Amino acid sequence: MNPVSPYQHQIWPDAVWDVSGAFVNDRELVAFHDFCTLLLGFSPFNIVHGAPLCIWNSGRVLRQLMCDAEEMRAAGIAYEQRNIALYLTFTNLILQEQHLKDALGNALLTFARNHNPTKRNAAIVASDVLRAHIRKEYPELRLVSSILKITNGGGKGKLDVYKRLADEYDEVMVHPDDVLNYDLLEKLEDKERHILLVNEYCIRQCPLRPLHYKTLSESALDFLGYDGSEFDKKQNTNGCRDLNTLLTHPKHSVLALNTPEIQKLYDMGFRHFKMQGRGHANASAILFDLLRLVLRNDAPAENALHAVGQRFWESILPIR
Amino acid sequence: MSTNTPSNNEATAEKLRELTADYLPDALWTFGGAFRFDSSLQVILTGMSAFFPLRKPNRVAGTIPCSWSLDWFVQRRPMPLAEYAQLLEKYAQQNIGVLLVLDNPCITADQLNDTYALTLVDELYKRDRIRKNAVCVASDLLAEHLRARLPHLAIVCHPNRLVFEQNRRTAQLYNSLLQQYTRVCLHPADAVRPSIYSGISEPGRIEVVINDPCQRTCPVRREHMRLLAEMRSNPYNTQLMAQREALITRNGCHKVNAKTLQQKLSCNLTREEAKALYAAGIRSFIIQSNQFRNEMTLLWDIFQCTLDYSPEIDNKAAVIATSLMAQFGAPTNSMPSGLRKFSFSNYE
Repeated sequence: MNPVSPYQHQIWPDAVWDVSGAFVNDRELVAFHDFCTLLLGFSPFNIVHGAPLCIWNSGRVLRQLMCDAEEMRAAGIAYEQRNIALYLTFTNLILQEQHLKDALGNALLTFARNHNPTKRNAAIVASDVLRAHIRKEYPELRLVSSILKITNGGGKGKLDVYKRLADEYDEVMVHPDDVLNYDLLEKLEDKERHILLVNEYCIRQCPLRPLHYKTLSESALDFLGYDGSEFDKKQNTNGCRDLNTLLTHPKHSVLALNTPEIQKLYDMGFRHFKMQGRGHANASAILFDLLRLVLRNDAPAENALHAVGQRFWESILPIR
Repeated sequence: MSTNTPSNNEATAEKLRELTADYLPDALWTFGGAFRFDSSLQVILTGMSAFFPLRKPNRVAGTIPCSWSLDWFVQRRPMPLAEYAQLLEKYAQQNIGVLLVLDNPCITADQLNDTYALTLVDELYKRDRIRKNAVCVASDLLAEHLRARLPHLAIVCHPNRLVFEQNRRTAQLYNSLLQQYTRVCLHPADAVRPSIYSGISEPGRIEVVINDPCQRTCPVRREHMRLLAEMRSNPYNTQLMAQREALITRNGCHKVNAKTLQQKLSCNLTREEAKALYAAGIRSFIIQSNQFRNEMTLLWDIFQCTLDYSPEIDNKAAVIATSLMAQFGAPTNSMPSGLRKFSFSNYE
């Protein structure tokens, strides 16, 4: 563990941060990591997750996830050099045997296996056939049960499902609504093997979540030809794109946690916290969340946080 | 339905008001970046109008390169007058005033005749159909000159005027400046001195820069401004740029101490400090951007300064900030992915 820096968050200095953006926001994530390491004396995150656009990827299926081989290799090497573990989001729900030969997916697994200084590199999966494939062909890699798995498998809120997943996987992503289900969370064993999403900017108790994930998985299999208009219509009336709903709705306000809610999870013994954000149009949102969640922000540090943020933004972008 | 029943919109607005209730609820905001980061400002203005009108700015502020203003980094090109006029119109259409910042404190009598700068002020005045425009000047000489030319022009006293004040800064000094100027900005160091600002007779006419990144106890602020003014007069003298770099390095402006938390090192105001100013009757807060290289720093400051990050509602502040930040750029890789070379140009 890093020695505690006076700039680390005052409540959760030893949290394990798992940040979104591999293969899409690499430049910015590496810049933030180096900024904190060089200037503030600590590594701000330990794990980065993501995947380029490919048939195994899901969760976020967007054209900005397209990258070429050199970009992927350079990004992977940069994370390796900084001892940042790489979690590949191979979370497509509906993969079948015929999809297991995907060249890009297998190449990335090979890369993750061969460039693994922390021995923590992993694949996050939701498909049983892909899980079996990786266990057999890439036994050095760890396996994480995806949010899509618990959501579309009907396991939300069910302790027995979480227990089964904990037996089958090295780590388990908790359903985003279950991060507020404290009775359930108390009963989970091996809390350090459960991953909690803390900045979900979707609505609480979203009725569309399973359909959304299924739609994303379908579109990943047919990215250029997929017609998602039916889902879009449903999403447009769901409130998840409406800031007023997110800010004020009594039942469906934003699922991102406030500080006391994260602190409660930390006090319960959870340490592995995940930040989503690779689906945004640019990297600024994930960088904003990194600054506010990783750096100390209480009253004595407020001025320092503000100034450090200014220094960071000034350092990564050109003069305009 | 009773006519007294609030509409859904009013109810929503009332709930949103809870997000600012404990932090400068009725503050008037001025966002910097005009004439430099206008397209980004438009995204912010549109987003704030649609989603969070409580923090929509009253004014935007910005400098245009001329002999009456300063540039902090490279000497920028002057702006074509047609483009300037178009921007003034655009802000007026949105009911947003423009504060033209003329922050050079070392203006000579000769420089008063800069016709380009005069035209900028004339246009600002002529096109002020919403009666919100003003100039913000750092030189009494310039203020007098403009007052004689345009007696009804609103003139704000810029902090650099206070930086070059020869006498001790007191509440009396501010009260006397309020006799000369329409409004007066506090010197950044005075924004944390209640002994000064609580003695000001008309706090409603005071403006505060809330996000000055310079040191609170900077011993070289005047020297720094003088160098910037010389750089404006002699833009091709690279020695001046070297001198400025040396000054900043010598003063440790960019030093970060990784071992000890640097509490209250910069002039960025904490929420408690801003709330103390508010309690003293000050309502006008400026988020400046002259000292920044790019608009992302300005955006960080807009969201850092205008939103309430109290622990119970910090997730909601984050929704607003990240939603609006994500509006920048088309949904493509506008920030390049892959590890191209980047430079840490601002590192020690």
